[in-house]
Amino acid sequence: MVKTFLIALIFGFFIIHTDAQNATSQSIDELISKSKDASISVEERLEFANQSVQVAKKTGKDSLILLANRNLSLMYYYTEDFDKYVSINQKNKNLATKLKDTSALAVASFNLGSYYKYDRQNDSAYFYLSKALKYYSSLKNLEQKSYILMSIADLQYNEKDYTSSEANAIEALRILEKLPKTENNLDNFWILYNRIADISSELEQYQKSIEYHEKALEITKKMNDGFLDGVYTTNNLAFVYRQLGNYDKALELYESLLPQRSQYQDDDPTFYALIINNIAYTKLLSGDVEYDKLLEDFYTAYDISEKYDDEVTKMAVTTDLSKLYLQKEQLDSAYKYAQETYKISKSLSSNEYVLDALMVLSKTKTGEEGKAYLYEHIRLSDSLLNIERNHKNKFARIEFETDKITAEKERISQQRMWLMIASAVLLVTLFLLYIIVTQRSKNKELQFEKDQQKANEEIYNLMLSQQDKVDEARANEKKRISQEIHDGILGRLFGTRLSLDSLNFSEGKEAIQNRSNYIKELKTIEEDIRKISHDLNTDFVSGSGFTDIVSELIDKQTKAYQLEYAFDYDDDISWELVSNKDKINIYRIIQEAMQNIYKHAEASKIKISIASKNNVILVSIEDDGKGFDVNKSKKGIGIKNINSRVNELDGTVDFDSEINKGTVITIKVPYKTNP
Amino acid sequence: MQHIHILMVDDHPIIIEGYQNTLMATKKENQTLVIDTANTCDSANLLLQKSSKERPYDVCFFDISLPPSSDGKITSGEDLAKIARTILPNAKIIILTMFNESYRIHSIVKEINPDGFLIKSDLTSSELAEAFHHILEDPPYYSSTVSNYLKKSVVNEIYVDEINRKILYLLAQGMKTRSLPEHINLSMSAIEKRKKQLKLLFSISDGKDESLIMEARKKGFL
Repeated sequence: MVKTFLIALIFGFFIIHTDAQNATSQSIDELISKSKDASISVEERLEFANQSVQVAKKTGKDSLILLANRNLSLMYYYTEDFDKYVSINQKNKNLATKLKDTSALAVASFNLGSYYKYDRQNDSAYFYLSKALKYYSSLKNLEQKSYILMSIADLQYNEKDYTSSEANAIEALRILEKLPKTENNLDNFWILYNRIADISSELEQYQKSIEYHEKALEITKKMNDGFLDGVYTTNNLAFVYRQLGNYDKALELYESLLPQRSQYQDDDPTFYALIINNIAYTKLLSGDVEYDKLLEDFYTAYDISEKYDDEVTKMAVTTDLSKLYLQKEQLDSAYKYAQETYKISKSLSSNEYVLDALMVLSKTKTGEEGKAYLYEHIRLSDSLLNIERNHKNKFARIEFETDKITAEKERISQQRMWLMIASAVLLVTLFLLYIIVTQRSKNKELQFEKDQQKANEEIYNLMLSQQDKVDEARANEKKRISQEIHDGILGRLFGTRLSLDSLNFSEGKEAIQNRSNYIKELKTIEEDIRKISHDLNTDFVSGSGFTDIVSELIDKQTKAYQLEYAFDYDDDISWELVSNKDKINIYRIIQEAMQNIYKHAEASKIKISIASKNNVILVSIEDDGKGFDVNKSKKGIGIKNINSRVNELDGTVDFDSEINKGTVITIKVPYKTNP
Repeated sequence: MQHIHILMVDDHPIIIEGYQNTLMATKKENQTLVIDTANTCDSANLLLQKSSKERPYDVCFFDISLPPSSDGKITSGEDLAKIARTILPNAKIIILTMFNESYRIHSIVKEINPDGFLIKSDLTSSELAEAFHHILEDPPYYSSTVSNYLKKSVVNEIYVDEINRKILYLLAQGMKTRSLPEHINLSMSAIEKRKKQLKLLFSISDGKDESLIMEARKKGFL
């Protein structure tokens, strides 16, 4: 009854438990989907995402935490909380690494790379993007792959690593070719063609640049929403022609953009300003000296850029203006606009414009001031050149270094593996060795015990046979006495009786004389009986058993060891009353001690005595050998054996040794007579 | 006048003295006793041999337990009695012994068939005198103890042969079974077999030698 209840309880608990887990994962899903609800405010959605992470953390399951975190990362992106965005993506990256979730890893790396690119931390951006590229490659996500390649090409372009940038852009294009021509992909095509055209123009491969710009133009025509891109491309194309010195073509392209103003005015209100500035400057370059007309255009452009607060356009306008004034030799105005360009370009970190401005400035001022601007120009261009040089192979370096780090890591992991294998082998070997050693010592112990047992048995048998001998001697003695009584005493008694009897037949002096003779004879018989009685009373064999064995042992052993010996023993000890175990131990102690003397003492004489005193059996073994240090040699096997045997006897042992004088071992054993 | 030539053999001179005293004191008027004495097998044998050539003994007194002869051929009064029987066919042989064990009595009666058999322990001088005269005229004379033993074992339906009697006797002496082959001309296994038979015969259930001896003694075999 109780049992069933218990089982039910346990079962019930189990169900509740799994339910609880299901419930949590459900609630996480619910919270995530709530946070994706676009109909509520971003703050509320962020709150839901945060809650989902909290719940996930409570489960302690990494996969759930990662799921919630990824959603939260998205929310941070929406709320533009980039610090948290970066940190959560770092966390996700680690979690994904731990869970071996490549797709999450790719997303986190891509997010981080994209953020750093946005934040112009090009090195970090490159690091994460190239990682993301690898993950997406392994996931075979072509779209993302081409997008990342495009981003990397962007980075490299910004760092002036044109060749690598171009290579990546071409790789991205190749992937794009395989993808469906969606609006987005077409846009990417346009970006990439534009990128390659820019690179070519930077490398002064103007024909190639024109070629790619025209390809880009083709793309814009295929796009539904390609107008603006087309306009920009036309502008870029015109710029290339201007660079080439083909001013007519450039002007033609620029001017083709003017009538379309209404179509791009809303999206890019300052673009028109840029166009008229470009036209004016192209005209200036082409040798147009109608300065008033040109100035009018420049100022129109300047006003528009001012009106829309477009610093970039304004910077372009002021540069061109300063150059016009320089050509016109109106140095004050040239100085004024060059200064403005300088200021804006500095604030925008647009080095090329800074250089242009400095060049103009140096020409507007004579003497030291002019020289100072020129020096600044030279310094800046030198440093830029240096940076450029240094940057050239930076990404290759980063890649190489990461490769190196990976290789190093691999090497280390391999090393670690070998180390682990080696230590495992070592451990196993040690373990086996340990087993072998313990087994061997166990065997030894067993063997030792066996030997001990055998030795004990031998001694026991020895004692038994000794007992037999004693018994036999006793029996013989009994027989002898019986015979003596029977043959001697009885015979003589009989003779005497018979003679006395026969004397009854005769009387007289002679008979009295005879009788007294026979009575004397009776007296001698009496004496004999007394003697026999005495013989019977003294048990000549009693107690000789054990001491005989010991004496035989000492005799044999000393003969083998070539030692002189003396053996004293006390007849007062009734060995038959001492237990066999004790006798065996005493025997073994004497044997062990003699062995020790033979092995270590280099003695010539030994003296062994067994005595009893106040209910204690005193065994002493004395030699005249070289002695030993009692304190140091406590651990010797011989001494240990003696100690353990004495312990078994409940006795005490005392080693008394003097160097070069000999050793005395004194053993005291309680004289326990067990009846 | 009746001349009676007598040999007395006993290792105790005082016993011979007792015999002499008794016989001399109780002899008939017409009898002359010529007594030779010997204390050892050797001297006894010598006297026997000599008498067979000169004048044979009429009566020989033999003690059973005697120290053996120097050549070891004669070990007891029994052996002397046997010699006397062969070389002195007319001599009356009287065995006097301390032994009162049934086995020895049997074996002596069987081997020698003596004209007199006396047990020293229950012998008085008058009985000795009576026995002497009885034997001279109408042998044999067995003392009452001897005839009682003989009667008892004749009545007994259990038959125990000579060797088995010896085994019983030796065991009763306290001899160990393993020492028996030294005294009986049989192998150890044969002796063991006989012991088993004996135990069966005396219906000993516990298999102990002690019980066997006790039972044999009760039934008069010892």
